[in-house]
Amino acid sequence: MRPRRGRALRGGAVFSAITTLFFYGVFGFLGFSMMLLFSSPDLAGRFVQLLSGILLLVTGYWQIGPVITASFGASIDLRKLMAYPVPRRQLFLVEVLLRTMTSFDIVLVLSGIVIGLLRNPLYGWAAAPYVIVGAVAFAAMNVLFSAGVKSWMERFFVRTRFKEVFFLIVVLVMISPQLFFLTNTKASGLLRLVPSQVVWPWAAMGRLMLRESVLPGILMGAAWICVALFFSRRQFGKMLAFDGPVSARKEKKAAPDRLSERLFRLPSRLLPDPLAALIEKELRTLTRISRFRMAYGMSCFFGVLLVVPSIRRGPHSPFLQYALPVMAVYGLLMLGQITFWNSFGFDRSAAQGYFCWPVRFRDALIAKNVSVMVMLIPQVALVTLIARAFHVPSSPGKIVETIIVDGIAALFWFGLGNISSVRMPRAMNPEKMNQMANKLQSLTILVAPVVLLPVVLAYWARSVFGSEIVFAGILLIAAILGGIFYWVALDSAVKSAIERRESLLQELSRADGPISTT
Amino acid sequence: MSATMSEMTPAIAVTNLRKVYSGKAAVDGLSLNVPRGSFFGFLGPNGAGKSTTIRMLTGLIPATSGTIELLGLPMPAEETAIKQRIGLVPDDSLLFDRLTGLEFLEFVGRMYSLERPLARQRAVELLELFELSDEGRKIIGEYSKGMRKRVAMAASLIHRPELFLMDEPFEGVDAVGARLMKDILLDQVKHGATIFLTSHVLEVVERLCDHAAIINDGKIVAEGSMAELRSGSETLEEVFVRTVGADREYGKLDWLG
Repeated sequence: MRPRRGRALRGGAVFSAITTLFFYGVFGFLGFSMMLLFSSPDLAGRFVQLLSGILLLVTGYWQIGPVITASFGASIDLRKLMAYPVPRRQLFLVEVLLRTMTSFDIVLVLSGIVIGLLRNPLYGWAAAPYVIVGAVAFAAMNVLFSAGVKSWMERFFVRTRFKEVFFLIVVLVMISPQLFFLTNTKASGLLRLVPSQVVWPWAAMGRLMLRESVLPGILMGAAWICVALFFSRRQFGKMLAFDGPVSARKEKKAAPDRLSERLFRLPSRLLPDPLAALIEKELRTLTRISRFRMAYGMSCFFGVLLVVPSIRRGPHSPFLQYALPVMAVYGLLMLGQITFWNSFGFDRSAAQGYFCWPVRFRDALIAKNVSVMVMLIPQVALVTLIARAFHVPSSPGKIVETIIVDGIAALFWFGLGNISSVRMPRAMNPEKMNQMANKLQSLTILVAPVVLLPVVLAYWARSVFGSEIVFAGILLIAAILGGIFYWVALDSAVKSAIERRESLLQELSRADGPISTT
Repeated sequence: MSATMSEMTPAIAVTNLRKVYSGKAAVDGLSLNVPRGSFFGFLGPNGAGKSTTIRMLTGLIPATSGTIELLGLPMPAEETAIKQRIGLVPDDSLLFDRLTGLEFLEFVGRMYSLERPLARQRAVELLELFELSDEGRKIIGEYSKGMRKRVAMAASLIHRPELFLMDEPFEGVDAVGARLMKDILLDQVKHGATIFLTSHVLEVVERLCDHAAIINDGKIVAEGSMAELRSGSETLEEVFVRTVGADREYGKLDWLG
């Protein structure tokens, strides 16, 4: 068992290294672009507006980063250190250092700006004290603010369902560039909207870096740093005194309402036990996991991002014909990470029940797949509504086609997912949004298009032969192949689960590490 | 096998049971007979092989070698039939945190082939019996450790099993809860059920059990009725300490005084 785990860990480390390199590569590129931009004397006349806008964006990113981390539940909980005789002041310092250490990506961008200004003949080394002091003050203010915002949001997320609302806001922020692109909004138009008066922190420190309004810039910069320090210390103190689990307990709703109860009991009207009981349990469980609800919401919405370029090209764009099925299948793929690729992740140690109770393990897997299928019905409906809002073709025929394609994709992916669920299980914390095995992610990305080859073939045949009959025929063959694939994979997964039950349960019983996160 | 013959067999009959991990035996040639209708305590220090044994008995992990018979049926050949007749309280939680106590008990009942209305009715009654009626509509994830244990025990009772396998059932349970659980278990034994439990708390075993076995380094080092084990004037604790070889002076640290 150990060598396999060792290999998996090495594989995960390589994957992490590649993604880290890519992530910082992107920010390195941004930093380089900033250097080129600010070293150009021709643009100097627009630097105040430009730098204010860029620093505003940087501030937004800087503040949203820890908030996303907090919403994921992935930040380190310093309250656990309160059991030891560490002064609160030092804990605050640790928090600030953590914020600083996780800001390397932004430092790359800021460094680009600083180097650009130093290379600019209009500024040069003579302006170095202003440029560097302004940049350092800007960074300090943001680090302090982000520490406070994180502490504040952590409490906020525990108390309320704001976490989910926040995630939708993040989604909107993330797609906003696409929306600007769609509505032909020009960058120069947006730049005019940037608040660049010296009272704003980004403008005050930007002006200081550019040697414009130096004294007001210094005064406002110092004032903003004091505000940030006061805010972060206050919020950090409140966070330390916050009894999260107790407060959260008061907020949690217990039994479902009548309508939900009827919906949960629906499988029992159609199917026999234990399958019906298992499906009912899955539906109840999934709908009570905020992480699932968020992923579900995103799976309905994110597909539209894939088709934005085609929407922009107009109604005659050839890709638009495939847009609705693509959006739905993409939604299914997004759900996979927290459902069928790792079916027992949320069950954790309770998965031993499937081996202790007099039920077939096969039924447990089928129930998990069926419950995702049940969830796909409202998902396709929502995706269709969103598609209609964006003028994506969604005639009744297209909806039927989407359901069929989604169903075929589900057969292939569930088959693979059942194998990965028993061979690469991972305990998942329902409160953590970002907890996802790297190997699972890569598996999803690598395997997903390959197994859908028969579906792709059907679309290719339709475009070549222009025949709906050929298309339907190949889809039928794909469905039959999918069915066979699913049953063979299911048998293999059941056999594997029974043989490997010990390691499967051991993996699923793994708890958070000693440096536990919230 | 006829019903009468089946009733004559021990509730648990284990012969030469072994479980080896990376060349090291966690359970090493364990043989054990648990009479029907007995309250059997399975004792041992940490890492002695108690949980491994109970996990093999429940079919959670396969044995490396040896034979297991539960209620006269061979394991794993008759696994499903055996599971239908045993109740289980494992050490790790077997609870789904996102279900309410009521939903979970009903779900477990349905896993044991009870009709939904009957499972529901028994779930309500069990919650009442375990003094959890007020908490029944709360999500299990919000329960305290003691409440979780009580729900787990309630779940093990829902299908009225003949044999209970319990790993540290009283761990984390307060005195009131433990008293309640003990009374319920004693009542089950009175009605013919067999209970096999592991516990670190020797007083609990001493008070409840009529038979016990002590395991150390994967081997049974003492076994018998409570009277046999405590022959002479020894308490169970003294027997335990002596048989596991812990009756020696422990080292001291100067700075601890």
